[in-house]
Amino acid sequence: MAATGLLDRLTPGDHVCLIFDDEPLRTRSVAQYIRAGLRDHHRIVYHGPGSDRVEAELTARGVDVRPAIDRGQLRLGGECPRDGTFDPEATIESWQEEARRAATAGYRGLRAVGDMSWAVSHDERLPWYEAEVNRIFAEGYVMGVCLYDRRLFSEARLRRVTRAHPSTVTPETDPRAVPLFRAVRTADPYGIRLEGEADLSNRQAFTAVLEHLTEDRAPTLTVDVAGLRFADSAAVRILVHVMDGRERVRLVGCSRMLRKLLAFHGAGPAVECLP
Amino acid sequence: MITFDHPALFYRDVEQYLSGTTDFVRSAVAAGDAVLVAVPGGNLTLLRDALSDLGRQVTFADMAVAGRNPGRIIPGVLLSFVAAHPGRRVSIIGEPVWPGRSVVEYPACVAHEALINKAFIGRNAVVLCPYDAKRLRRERLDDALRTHPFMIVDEVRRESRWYADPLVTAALCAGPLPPAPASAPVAAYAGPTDLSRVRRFVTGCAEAGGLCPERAADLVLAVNELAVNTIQHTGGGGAVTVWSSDEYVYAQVDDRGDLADPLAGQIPPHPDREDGRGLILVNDLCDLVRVHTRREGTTIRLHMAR
Repeated sequence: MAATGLLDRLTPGDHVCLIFDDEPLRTRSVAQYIRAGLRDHHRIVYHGPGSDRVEAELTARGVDVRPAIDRGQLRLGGECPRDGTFDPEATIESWQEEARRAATAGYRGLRAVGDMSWAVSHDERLPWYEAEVNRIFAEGYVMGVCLYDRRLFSEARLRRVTRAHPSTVTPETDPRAVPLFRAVRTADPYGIRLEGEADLSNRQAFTAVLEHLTEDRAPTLTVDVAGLRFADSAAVRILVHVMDGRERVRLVGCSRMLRKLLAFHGAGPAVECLP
Repeated sequence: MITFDHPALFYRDVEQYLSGTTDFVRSAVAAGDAVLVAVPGGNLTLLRDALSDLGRQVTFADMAVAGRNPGRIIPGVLLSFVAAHPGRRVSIIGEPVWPGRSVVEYPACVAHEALINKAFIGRNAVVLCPYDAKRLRRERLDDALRTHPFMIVDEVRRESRWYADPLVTAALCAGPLPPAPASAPVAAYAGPTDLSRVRRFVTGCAEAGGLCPERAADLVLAVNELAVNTIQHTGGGGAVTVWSSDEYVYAQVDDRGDLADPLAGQIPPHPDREDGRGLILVNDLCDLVRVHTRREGTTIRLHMAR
């Protein structure tokens, strides 16, 4: 039952892989997540089957769903991919467009939730998509929960997609580890804020978000690591790669352990560690 | 010409120690070698004094600190010195074995001495290893003869007839470890999403065992690296057991992997290579690492001094 309630802790910027094997739990989790979105004045988009059940669950919990749907705050249903072919680039584009529309309409965030069962037959480019879409979440406006049914995906396939999510919630997840990791871009100072724990479970997400930083050639990059409770050796190595070639990188809130790992991986003299 | 030389120097008193080591250092400096002296505390003071006129031409390190964990001497002390002096021949005095080395540490020292012979193949270097022939037990001197191709006794250098295949010697040091207490808590892991739970488990046990938060964090990072190795390289899961004694907090990682290469964790990979640093980091973080390999799996026991 670990998943219920935990989704309440999520904020814009989060991208969570929710692995479930129990239908009532799934419905309850989705209803709770949507309810929190209505409370937080987010636009909410639910892709997937079973929207009737989600609606019934929300109604049972005293949420008046119809007005939210009518005023365009909530959209239930809708299949992904729409015409049966999965185009990851176009899907990412459409999320960007969706985010722009929500912002224009005055919502404080865009809250997506998607049943990923369709991906059983489209899994070739799925991990790439799940990793790349993190750059949208890293803007700090969109948040997403991807629902993966453990009964449909093999352990190996699940592992490939979980790595692409900053945070994975299973029925066995320790509530203190939710969300495990969050990366949010910052405009002033230009850079990124890293929070939580970066490890093998979210490696591909971590890599994708950081690699997108290399596309902008701003000379000074500020990486706020004060909230980064844990980074394993490989994560720090990726960080060192991203920082290579910059004129100046400021790491703010550097722990003793992070300094040790930066030295171990030969971080260059351009990297300035600030307390 | 590229040659590697690895003699053991048996000394019986301060006079023999100084003559055997200072002559070595002075002729190396005269030949233009990069020179490192890595010996434990008291001997370090002796040599610093005796070689003070050479100034910065000699680098000193306290082996009891830098080489406390014998598993980090090759990557962290010897090869890092080699890497810092590209293109130069290096001459090193390395004293990894001293009478205070405990029974728990000692097998890792022997493995280290054996593996130097492999780690330095193709490198232009001399590593001279002094052994206190008066205070070290006979068996430990015998081991030195097994791990060094040459020996210097009473200022006479000769081949060691007992020198053995380094990999065989190292494998003999990877035998069974004393069992962990049956009551020690265990955390099993199967995949990447179990890692955060394993880290919380180790943090809790390590701090309860008396490690300060910083040392506990070192142990947590080390265990995490080993668990990542299990998940990425064995195709299965593993288990972590944590307990403590008066001397150490222990974390043991058991999996079904086959750690076939005794040089794993000893030689830093090329900077462009992405993997191959986990065990080097583990050796760097811990006070002692003991390994037991067998056909059915691998046990790696990490020791952190309390």
